[in-house]
Amino acid sequence: MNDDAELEDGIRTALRRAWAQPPGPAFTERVIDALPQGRDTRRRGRLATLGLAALSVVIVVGAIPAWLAWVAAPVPGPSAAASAGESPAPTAPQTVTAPAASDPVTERLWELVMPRPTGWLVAINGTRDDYSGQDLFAVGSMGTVPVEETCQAGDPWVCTTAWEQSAEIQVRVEHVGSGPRRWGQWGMASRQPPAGAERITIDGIGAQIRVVDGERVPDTEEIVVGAARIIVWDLPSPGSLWTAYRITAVIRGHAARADALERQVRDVVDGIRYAPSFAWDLPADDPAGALQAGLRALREQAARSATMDASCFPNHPGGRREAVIEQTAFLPYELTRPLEVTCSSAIEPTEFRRWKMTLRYDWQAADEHGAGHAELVVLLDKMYGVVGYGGDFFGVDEMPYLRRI
Amino acid sequence: MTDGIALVAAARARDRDAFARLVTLETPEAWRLTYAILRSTVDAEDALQDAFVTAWTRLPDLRDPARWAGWFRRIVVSAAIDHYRRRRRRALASYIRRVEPVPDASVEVELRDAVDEQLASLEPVDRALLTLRYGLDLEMGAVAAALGMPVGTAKSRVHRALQRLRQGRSLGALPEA
Repeated sequence: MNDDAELEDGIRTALRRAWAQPPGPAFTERVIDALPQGRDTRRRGRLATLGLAALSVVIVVGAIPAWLAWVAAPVPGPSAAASAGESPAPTAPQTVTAPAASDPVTERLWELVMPRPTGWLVAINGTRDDYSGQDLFAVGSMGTVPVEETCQAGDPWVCTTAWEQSAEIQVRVEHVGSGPRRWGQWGMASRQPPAGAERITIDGIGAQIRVVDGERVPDTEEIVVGAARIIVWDLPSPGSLWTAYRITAVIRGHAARADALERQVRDVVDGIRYAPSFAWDLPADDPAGALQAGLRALREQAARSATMDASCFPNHPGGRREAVIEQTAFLPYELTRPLEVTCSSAIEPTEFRRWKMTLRYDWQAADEHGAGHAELVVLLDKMYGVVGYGGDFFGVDEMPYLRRI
Repeated sequence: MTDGIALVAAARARDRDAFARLVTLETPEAWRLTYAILRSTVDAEDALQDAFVTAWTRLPDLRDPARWAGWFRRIVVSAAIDHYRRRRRRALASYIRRVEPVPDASVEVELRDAVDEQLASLEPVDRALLTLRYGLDLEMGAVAAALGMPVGTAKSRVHRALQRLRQGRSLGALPEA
């Protein structure tokens, strides 16, 4: 095959396999809901746009006084002491229903739909020092428009957006991902929680939280000068096994105020909903069907490889089968000679509404080797089409005659 | 295709049920296109929704329902590229979206991931060109029409995009298969 044809094939393969699963019937409903009503849709659309623009202006005008009112509210702390009582809060125009300071505004950050209290500010980029005095909007003018973000390459790569209510509380939301699967559903499903972390559920899905008193952000080298308390939440991403959301809240207030601020930010995180929501990729009540689907995906993969074979695993959960195998389900490994094993299949649901399939080889002691076992653990995920799974290997180093290619 | 034409004609007559069926029918291919350009499921969904709403709004202008496929494809590409530009304007720093690596260490997958990385570095218009040409296997005429450019321009852009991928490969970014 010449270079051009090979490159074109590479492009075809890359494009087709990188395509995520198209959205389902819910997307059609969403589109139909979004269609303008009526026959003369274009004219109405333009009028609607004009109306929306006018409404936006009114809301912004209304929201600024609401925001000013919130900022001027007498709260403990140096900035509040300077402003309280000096300038009465402006009243919002009667024709406008500006959001009250306590009413949350729904904000979408990537796949997270968050109730953000009005009065919180949106920071477009970087740290407080970077954006101080610029790129700030009163909440209420943002509606459900996605918050701005900035991304940095690396491992993990990180996209960040930041909110803050005042100098006393800052909230940063990061979308984090990496190749080695340290993050996201896979990291949470296959590893114990880090020290000090507590497993919780948000929108019914597994997540974890860490609370520390002091200036060091858990799990990082980051120091936040003046922080009294730092809370970190890790949430999985619905559409991915290896990306996650990390929400970091820094609280600087006095003790009594800190508790109130912590409650406020906890309410925000507790109120998070996923969009799209987590859904079972394979039927929730059919472990046998899920196992068969997982094995089918694995065997399709094996059919394209000269050194992969997954045929010995039983198709029913809890099944065991003795076999002499010439290749394994591990890639990129090959067996240099046949091995007598017992193959077993197991499957269980995870707290992320996916199935976790465990395929295990057990072997007895023989002249040349001791007894042992090795496992392929797979989170079933139809997002990846033909490949159909994401997994990890355990015990491959001990498996007799197994050699990495 | 006759069914498709009938659906387009019905949707043009403001039949929302027909349009809903059209949305279901067109979503897989249109989704691949927006996803390849934007490389983010969330953004691809938003862009695709915009494309369908635009199509619904402009449908009365489509005189011949048989021309729906090319007409709609052009709307989809345009919506995705607009979305990309809006997103880029939002970002003050470089904007990076990575496609999830598939956890498989076979050479085939390494090659695919390497090509994928290279594709990610292209301009969205070039990604759209390559997606239409190689992902959806369209003729150059249809590719050019979807992007609203002359066939000659589309051909030379595809050629340049391939050259860039090839250069990346010669620098070692793409492994040999």
